[in-house]
Order: sequence, then C-alpha cells, then structure tokens
Amino acid sequence: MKGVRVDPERRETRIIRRHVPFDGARVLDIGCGDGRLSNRIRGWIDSIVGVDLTGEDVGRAHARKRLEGIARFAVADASCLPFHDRSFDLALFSWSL
Amino acid sequence: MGHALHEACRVLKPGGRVVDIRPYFPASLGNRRHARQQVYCQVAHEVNQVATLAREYVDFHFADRVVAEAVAGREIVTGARTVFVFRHYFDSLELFDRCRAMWWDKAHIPVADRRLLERTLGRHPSAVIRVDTPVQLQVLTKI
Repeated sequence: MKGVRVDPERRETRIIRRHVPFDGARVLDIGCGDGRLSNRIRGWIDSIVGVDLTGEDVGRAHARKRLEGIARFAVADASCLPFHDRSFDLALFSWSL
Repeated sequence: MGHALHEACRVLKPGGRVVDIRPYFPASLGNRRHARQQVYCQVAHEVNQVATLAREYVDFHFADRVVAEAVAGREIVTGARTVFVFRHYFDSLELFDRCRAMWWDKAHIPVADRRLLERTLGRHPSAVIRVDTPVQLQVLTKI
C-alpha cells in the first residue's frame, strides 16, 4: 500500500537469514498475506508455496512479478492444508500462528 | 489456528523446520509498557514517542500453548529463539488508522494518546508515524 512501509530496514529478513538454513529449501509460507516475506526470501530458496485465507491478499501475492517461476499462492485453511505429508523442508508462520 | 502447527508438522519432512515469527508480549514480565506496541512520530531525525497500542494478549498466549503442547507431544523440538523490533511506517494518520483496523483490530489507543498523536501531526504535517512491535522468532524442528 502506497504510503505504508513494512520493515523497510529488513530486520526480520536479516534475522531469519541468521537463524534459518534456507538454501535449496522447499518452503511453505502459511498465512502469506500479500507475499511480502516470500518476496524477501526468494533469493535463498528453491521454491515457495504461500497459503492464506484471504483471496484478496493471495491475489496481491500472485501479482508480484519477482516471484514468477519460484512461487505459487493459494487460498487455503492452515488447519487443513491441501498438501501431501512430508512435502516441504520449511514452514513459515509470519504473524500467523 | 489451533491445528495449524500440527498441519505444518504433517506436511514437513522429518527434520524440517518451522519458523514462528509473531509479536512478543510476555505477560510473565509484568511489564505492560514493554508488552505494548509503541507509536512514534518522526520528523526528519527527531523521534518522539506519542502513543501506545494496547491489546489483550490471549491470542499470543494461545499460540504459546500450542507450541508447548507440540513440544510435550514430541512432535517438535525448540531451537534458536531471538527477539527484535519490527517497524511499520505510515505517511498519514488516515493510513495508520486504515492499517490499524486491518492488522491490529483488537488493539486500542488510549484517548489521551490519540489526542497527542493528532496534535503532533497537526504541528508537523510531514511527520511519519512509526509503530514498533517487539517480535520473537523461534525455530522449531520436526522430530
């Protein structure tokens, strides 16, 4: 949203990088919102799937051109994820647990 | 979201990690000020704290319990944990109010704080509103 900046200092991204081994990981972003965090970690991962309950947010995440080819987003309930067992290396809950 | 952590563990490979990032409001500290989000007005390099956003902490304590239960059930083990300050910036009071309604709908701003915020912005229309939230990052590993 124009006029709103979320963590422009990228503290969250730096701290995640320091504590989490991402390299080549298949990541699930649960409660992905508009794809903000997926976008910021895109350079470290193999692929990412984002899910959120809100279709409007998922639409914004889809619209992020920089994520084309490595990310896909879907409307889904985190308490009933539409994925097979043992299919991801890492699950992110950013303000969503 | 009570089952979300359980579902995340189901779809993770053994040894896979859960990264849990959320506001850090530890009631046990008994420090209400620390537990609240702080609202600042920034004009150039001058920064003044003008308000707090207060809320009930039930949601976050519920998440704590969900994690504790998953640990007790030997579903996950806890790993690295750190706390940092997460910042949001708003170019106007209107944007601040709109986002507050979307993101922090359970938070309230005391009347006196609200007046101080409005007065400060009245004196400095170019001021930026900054909201600081203490946030914790915890890494959990699926067993």
